[in-house]
Amino acid sequence: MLNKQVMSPLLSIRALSTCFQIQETVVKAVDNVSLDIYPDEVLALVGETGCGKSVLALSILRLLPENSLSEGSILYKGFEILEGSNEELRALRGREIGMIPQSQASSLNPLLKVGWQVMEVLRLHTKVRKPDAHKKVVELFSRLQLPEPEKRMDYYPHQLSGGMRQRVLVSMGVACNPNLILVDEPTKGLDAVLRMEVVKLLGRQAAENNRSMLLITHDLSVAALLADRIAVMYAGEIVEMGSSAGVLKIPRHPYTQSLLDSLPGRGFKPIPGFSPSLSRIPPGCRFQPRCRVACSKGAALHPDLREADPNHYVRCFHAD
Amino acid sequence: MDVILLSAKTPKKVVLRFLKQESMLAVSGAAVLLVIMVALLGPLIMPHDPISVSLTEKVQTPSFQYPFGTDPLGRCILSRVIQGTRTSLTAAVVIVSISGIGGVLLGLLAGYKGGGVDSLIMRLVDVLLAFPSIILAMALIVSMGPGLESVIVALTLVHWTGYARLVRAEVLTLKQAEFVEGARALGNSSSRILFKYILPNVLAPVLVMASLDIAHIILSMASLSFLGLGAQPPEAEWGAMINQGREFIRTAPYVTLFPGLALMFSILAFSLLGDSLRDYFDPRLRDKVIE
Amino acid sequence: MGRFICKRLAATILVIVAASMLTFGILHLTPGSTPATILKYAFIGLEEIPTDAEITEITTRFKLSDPLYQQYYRWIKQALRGDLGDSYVYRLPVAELIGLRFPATALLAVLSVTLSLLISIPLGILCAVKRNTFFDHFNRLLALFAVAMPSFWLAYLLIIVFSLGFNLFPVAGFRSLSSLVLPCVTLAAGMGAVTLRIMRSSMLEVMGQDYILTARSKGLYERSVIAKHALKNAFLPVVTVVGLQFGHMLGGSVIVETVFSWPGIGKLLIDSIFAKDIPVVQGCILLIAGTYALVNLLVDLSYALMDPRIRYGRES
Repeated sequence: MLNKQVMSPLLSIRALSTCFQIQETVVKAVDNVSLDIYPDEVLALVGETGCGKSVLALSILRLLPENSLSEGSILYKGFEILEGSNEELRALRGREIGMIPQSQASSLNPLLKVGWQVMEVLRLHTKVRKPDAHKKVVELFSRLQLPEPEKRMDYYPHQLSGGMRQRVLVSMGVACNPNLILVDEPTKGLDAVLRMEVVKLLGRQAAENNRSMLLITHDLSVAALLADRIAVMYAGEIVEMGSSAGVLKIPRHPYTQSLLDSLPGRGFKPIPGFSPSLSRIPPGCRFQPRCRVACSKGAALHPDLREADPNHYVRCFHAD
Repeated sequence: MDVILLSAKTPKKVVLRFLKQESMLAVSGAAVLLVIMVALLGPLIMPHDPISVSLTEKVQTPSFQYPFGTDPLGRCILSRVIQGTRTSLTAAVVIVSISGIGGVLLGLLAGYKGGGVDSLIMRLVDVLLAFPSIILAMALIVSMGPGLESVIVALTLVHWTGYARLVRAEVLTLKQAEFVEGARALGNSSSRILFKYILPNVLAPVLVMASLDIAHIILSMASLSFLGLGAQPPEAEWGAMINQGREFIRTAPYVTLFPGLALMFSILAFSLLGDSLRDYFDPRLRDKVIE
Repeated sequence: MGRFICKRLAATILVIVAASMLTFGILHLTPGSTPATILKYAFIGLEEIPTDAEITEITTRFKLSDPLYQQYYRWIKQALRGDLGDSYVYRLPVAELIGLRFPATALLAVLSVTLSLLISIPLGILCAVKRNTFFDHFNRLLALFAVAMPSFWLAYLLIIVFSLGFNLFPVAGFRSLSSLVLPCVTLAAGMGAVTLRIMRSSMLEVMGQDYILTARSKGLYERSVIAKHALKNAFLPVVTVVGLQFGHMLGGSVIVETVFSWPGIGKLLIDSIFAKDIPVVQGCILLIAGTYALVNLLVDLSYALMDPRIRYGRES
């Protein structure tokens, strides 16, 4: 793992903040986030719903609505994404950075055949002719273990099961063999059996193709199975980041500890309270109101992200 | 998100913020208020008697004495436009109230009871909706004879279907809602659940529909009167007044112009109010945030 | 798909039958269709007082003393063979009268629908794409006024400006192609305005859907996102509304035909209403309801053709 850190990162995010303007309120969904994704690495971004992790993924592709604003820096292979032209970004999407969107139920166009929808991305970025594209997608489908791949090409999304739709979305995201794949909540809305299948699928995908992956999930157990490194996000900012083993075995942040304790196999203890509204963020430590070791210092002051152990960063006064 | 918390400062600020955020609602509300005021204050602000005929002063151009001119029978057009506001608004309110209440009740019944009652009511709705509404109204008026009363009865019979459909659909969704299931589990009677738990939740869309419906009814009524099926002379009604100006469009266009403007203003006011009420009640249409 | 078509076809026929019963019931259970009124309006003049002999004659001639359901049964049996009875006023078969007048209305309706769709659909799409720009605000304002504008009043404004002012188009009647312009514009305005608003909001709704985000994440050009992914989805609700709008237009044609003295069904209907020519009124209303039902059937079928979720249904 460590040798990767010496390599130069594939994607480098520095001090990224993304805000939304909703009427007269400003919502800061991503706040001063810095992280690197190295070649051939799976980085999991873990946090509760609404912590800003999906917004972070969409910021990377600059796919957020008009009422949003991103500041900071996102460097992909040295190219500044936040300053790229629309056309440069377009050429990057799907080709260099692929996305596997969340919610399989609504992310496929209901009026187009799924085979066509996957072929579309292939034909757009590679100069492949229609019959060849067709052949490639059938191959892709069978590699992703979609039953009867040839037949499925002509199916519409509503004719497929949730798990099959998820596979179609995966094949769409990886069709052009992008260097970086953003996977947004791949297990959302799937039952336990399907969840395991999708996890296996993604694991194989990452291992076979030597590609980097940003895995966004609320489920630490999914992250544990797939990720090399884990970043934990709370209320728009990263509170803990380190190697998968480090974060899971010796979690330093009380939020990470609580998240682990809330897993079904680890006590199933829910975290009391709610995460703060992103439009009204408290001045001190954001987790302080829900923290099991809440300190008076955290009520007033906002802790910085510090390197507690080598390559293990924590945003907590107790970790000092 | 949390706009209420942020803005809850002084009443004045709350009002100002409301006016700024809901400017469409404020403007259309003011326009509707103006129409209502004109109708209420009618007799006080009319410069002349809207009915009495003066053959010596027929078709006069607008002047200080007759700001909108006079019609082919020498009546003050301004006074008749004001009287027309009273006619249209009263009739529209009567029609919307009766058809609205009737439609809501039938919709509640159909949605809540289901089964035979439901299919009976909904098939009736289907048949009534098989006609363009004004054609059905015309058939009913033929049977009752032309006149404002016939128009009111006909439009009431035609317009309840919209409310019934809307309320039925809402009830079908609400029936499954947790708070209704809860109320049922606690042993509340059907009528109590319907009126205490379900009705309050369908009022907002009904209100929106009613506002849009008033605009629609004012238009239908004017159309029927224009065709000679509605208000009969000497009654002052916008559609009838426009019809009366037909032969004079070459020489005296103001005879048709002013009632038309009043008609359009009222329709615009009520339909805008309906639209902005819908936006106000349906925050889904505002800017969305992801996740 | 076959089952869907059969079901919709059956429903349409049922609705037309029920509508014919309702029309017949409304028109025959009323003071407007007593033998005395028919005599006064159609045969002897309004001032005359009908004699008992005349009333008996009319009653037996039109079998008015039979129970209503028998009268209806007789009427619908003949109607199915294309015989809608005879007009009291014109002394001609109703079907023949309608046949003479229908082409003018059909021409007007088809041209107006085409005109309004040709203008409103592209404008609606552009308004959604250029949301909140001057172009968007301007067209929405225009549409707002067009929706609120009573057709008969718009017709007069058009006549005042284009016929009397510029002398470009005839005031009334159906003599040349230029006679078509003003009635068409009048009818198209209201319908076009509604379609524009629906098209815009439907397009905006679709542009916020997850699959549009997916399409963008693939790196598609924005114009492909709109053309290949958004448009077809956005058309679905518009198709339904166009069907409903067509009904409004059939109603509106009565008014527009009256204003422009257009020799169509609408003018025939209104003239017959005043002449108490019940068989003609009945025929016209049935024709309008039937046309409306058929248009809605076509709308449903084209909806099914566009949407695979209806075309194929759900598997498993």
